[in-house]
Amino acid sequence: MEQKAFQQYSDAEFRDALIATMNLKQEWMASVDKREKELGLR
Amino acid sequence: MRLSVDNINQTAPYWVIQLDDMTFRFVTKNGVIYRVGFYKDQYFLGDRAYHFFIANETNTISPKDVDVYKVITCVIEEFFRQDKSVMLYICDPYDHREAIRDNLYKRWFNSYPKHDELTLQAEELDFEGYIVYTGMILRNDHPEYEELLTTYKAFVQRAINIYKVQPK
Repeated sequence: MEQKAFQQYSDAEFRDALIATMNLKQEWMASVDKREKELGLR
Repeated sequence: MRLSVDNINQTAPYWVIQLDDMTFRFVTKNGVIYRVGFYKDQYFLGDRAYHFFIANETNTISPKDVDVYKVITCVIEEFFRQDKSVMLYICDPYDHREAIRDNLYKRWFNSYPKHDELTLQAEELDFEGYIVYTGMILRNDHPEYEELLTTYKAFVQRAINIYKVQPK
């Protein structure tokens, strides 16, 4: 599905996207933890 | 996009392990484990941009080590070998050291020997007293250079205009 441009976001969608972006580091860290376990580094 | 750990290890002072296409891990002489990498933007610039993250094992302040800076430079340099790479960062506020992190990004950029090949657009978003430090770095020869800068500024302006909720 093609990503909606942020200029088309409603105010609520924009705010939600901003909060989700602020939380991307936690998402990235979870993927790193999972990968390290797969590789036996943890 | 896949970054090359071989390229990174040619000049990095610590041995770097590749965890996935754009994420790496290394251990310092002080035994501190760092993870550094990029994560695709999902909401604002999409496929055109990646968020840059760095984290250590304990999420605490580590002993000063200039070699960490050198490894990070190698990783970012490898990222910018790609023509269409745009790097975004948001300074993590979890320990209230976000302004220091923002200053580190700016110092890194200004001391980077090839910084005249890149543009740093740094912004401070004031959400009713809650400051979020963010930035975008892209190559000066990026084919969508002007459009990306305009888009980023539009994003920042809309964030300033729209974000009315006082964070905790």
